[in-house]
Amino acid sequence: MFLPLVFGLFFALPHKWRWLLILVASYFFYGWWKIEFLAIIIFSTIVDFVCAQKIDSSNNDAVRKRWLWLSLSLNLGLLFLFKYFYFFVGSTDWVQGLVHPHARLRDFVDFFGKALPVGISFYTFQTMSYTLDVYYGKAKPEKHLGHFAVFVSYFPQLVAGPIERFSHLNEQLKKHQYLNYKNLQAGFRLMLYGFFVKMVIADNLSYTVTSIFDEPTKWKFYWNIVGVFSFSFQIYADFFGYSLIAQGAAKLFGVNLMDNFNLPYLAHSITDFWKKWHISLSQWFRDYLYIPLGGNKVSKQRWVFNISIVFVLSGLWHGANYTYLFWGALHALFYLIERFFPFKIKSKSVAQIITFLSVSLAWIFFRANDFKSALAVFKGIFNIQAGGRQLDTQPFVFLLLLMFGLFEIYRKNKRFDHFCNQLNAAKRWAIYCFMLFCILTLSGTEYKAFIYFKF
Amino acid sequence: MKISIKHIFFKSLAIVLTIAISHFVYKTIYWEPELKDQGNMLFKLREFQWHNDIIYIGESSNYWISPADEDKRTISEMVNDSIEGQRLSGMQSPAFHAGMYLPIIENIDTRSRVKQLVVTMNLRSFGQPWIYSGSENSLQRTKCFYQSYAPLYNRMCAALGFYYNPQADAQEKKMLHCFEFDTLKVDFPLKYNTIKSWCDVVKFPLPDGTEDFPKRQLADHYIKAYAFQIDVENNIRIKDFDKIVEICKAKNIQLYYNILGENVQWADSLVGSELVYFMKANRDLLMERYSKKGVIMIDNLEEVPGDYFGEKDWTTEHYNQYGRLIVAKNVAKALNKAFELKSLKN
Repeated sequence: MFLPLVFGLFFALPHKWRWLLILVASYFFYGWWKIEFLAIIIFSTIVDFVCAQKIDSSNNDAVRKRWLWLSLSLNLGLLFLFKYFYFFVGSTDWVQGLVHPHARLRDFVDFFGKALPVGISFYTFQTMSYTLDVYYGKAKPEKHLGHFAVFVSYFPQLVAGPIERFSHLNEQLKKHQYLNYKNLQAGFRLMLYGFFVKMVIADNLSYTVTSIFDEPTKWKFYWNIVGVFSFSFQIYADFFGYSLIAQGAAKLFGVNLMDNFNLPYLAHSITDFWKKWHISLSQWFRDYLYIPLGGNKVSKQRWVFNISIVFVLSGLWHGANYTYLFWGALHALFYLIERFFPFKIKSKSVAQIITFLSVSLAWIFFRANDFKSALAVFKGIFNIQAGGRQLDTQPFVFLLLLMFGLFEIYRKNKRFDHFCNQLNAAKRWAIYCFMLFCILTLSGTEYKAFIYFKF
Repeated sequence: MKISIKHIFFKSLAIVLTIAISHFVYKTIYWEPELKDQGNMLFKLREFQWHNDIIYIGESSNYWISPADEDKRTISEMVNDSIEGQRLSGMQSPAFHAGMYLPIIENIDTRSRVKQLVVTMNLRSFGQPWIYSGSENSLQRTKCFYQSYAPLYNRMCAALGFYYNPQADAQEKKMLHCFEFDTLKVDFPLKYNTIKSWCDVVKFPLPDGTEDFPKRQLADHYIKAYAFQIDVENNIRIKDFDKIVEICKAKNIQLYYNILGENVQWADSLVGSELVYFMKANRDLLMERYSKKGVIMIDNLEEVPGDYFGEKDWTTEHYNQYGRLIVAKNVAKALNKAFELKSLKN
């Protein structure tokens, strides 16, 4: 009911009040999870708004730098406090021993172990990119606090991205939008495809994935292999589905959000994979960490360090767990091997298969709750001699996955709504009806939140 | 682009037809297996109601069997073997409570053979730990399959999360709030008037100066499970049991509430007579309230001796074969009595 209501009100209101509606709707949307966390997003908005103004109004580089550091340290401080503090500090024996006798202090520390504001990693990175852009002169600061608050909290992409750049999103948000049939058509197409990918593909795969990763030693070895590949597709379908829904919802309001995926499992190298997977985050790390660190215009040793730090931090961005850190480190390792490997693979298909296998291998650490579980999955894969049970899966899930894969390859890098434009009405509607049918009858019956919501 | 009425009509028609076909395909092919898996009690009811005079609805107390039991029959099977001239079948699901029984009972067809219904009344289900249980979320999802709407609609409610979806941490917070602030009001001196203050003082010191922690933990469970007073105005279970009475009246079904046996002996020896007071007071309230509403009440609260409980480290209504038999006999006695009276009248 939320989206139709906001949509209806948006086009009923005069242009000058629409920002307020979107802001209220976005805060309502965010507050629905936990109203207390609204304070964090508002704090982050005000800090970055003020810092960017100060950076822009000063000609003194030291002053500008000071404001930039203030913004970065407050944003990263919030992120650290809510996402990493408990894991790295609060849960340690030393801190627990210190606070244990003091109930209030203990509750305070434990609060950060339980409370993770939804989407904090996404909007923090988005606001940081704004101050950095203003600092580097790539963007002019927004003079209107309300408009800036809309940029930070824009509901279609607030909780799981794409992490938009100020220059790309803000102008669109401020533009006078008219009710447009083409936008509606594109928006609905993207949302339909998004729901199909999420509910029919991702949610149905979750049963296999959960069964394998929860008890990896229980099943016959080949089920562990199926489980690992299933997770590769589950996480793709889940996150890609979300991105499509976000793009579709924004498109209804005339806003184009960036593409976050471009057939990542057809990548022929790890370098290529990161150009196609979670594009908005990869670009963020490239522009605001890798390049400022010197990029590739440094010595070989320094470059290896830069790559390692970027990948490890991108792993850590996902959550406070050593498994994410290791996942990032593993990608760094693959990247470096690829770079320094003396032989280049000539066959594109072989390179694609190797890349997919490497990425899937790394996903094991991403999905597992801890190292022990990840190693148990590995052990399960190679434990050919051991017994184990058969997993009771639904074959139609894999059939649908195959269809989805073939369809993705067929549509190539054309966005779904653009792809539909090429087809005649009968073919288009056959696809829509098929997707609707699958959503209604074949989707998973258990409501599953999007995986990236927890980041 | 020009949009004509014809355009809109054909597009709407395609959507409506897709939904209609989806519904037909789902109901014909997928509904039965999905219902068996996700809404098992309704699945059973659809068959049971045409072959049984009585249906016994309960939770895990009905199917839990001790590994040492020689008699593996469930309570409902024992009841069925002890009644004459009538047939009874049991339906059960773990952690179910009156709110979950309600939509199942709503689905009983008035043309069916069922004219009597035995519903287990678990005393603990009226307390905060069960009302604010972490498993409420998954129960509510299951409830979608019991709604009396079109099966495809029910399925989409479950898939899209269109149900009361309490978060586990919010539930826990509410429960802890009740433990701390819900005061127990009695007309005799009670040292501890909240669950929290009560749990704080119950101690089991050992001769070596340490504490018998398992015993203390168990005592805490007992206090949390039974130290409450049913507020008939606000308790959600009361509302659900009241609605069950109304539905059964409307469907002309004789209703029996089976108050399950609790481990009163252990409650007394671990915590004391004050806790037993609350158990009995709640039982008396339920007996009085529902007898007045025409429900036949079966009181098993104090009937099962402590040794007959299968699990000693938790508060459950899981009985061994002797415990199940005691409960079953009492249920059968009530059913036989009603049957005899009816036969006499006829």
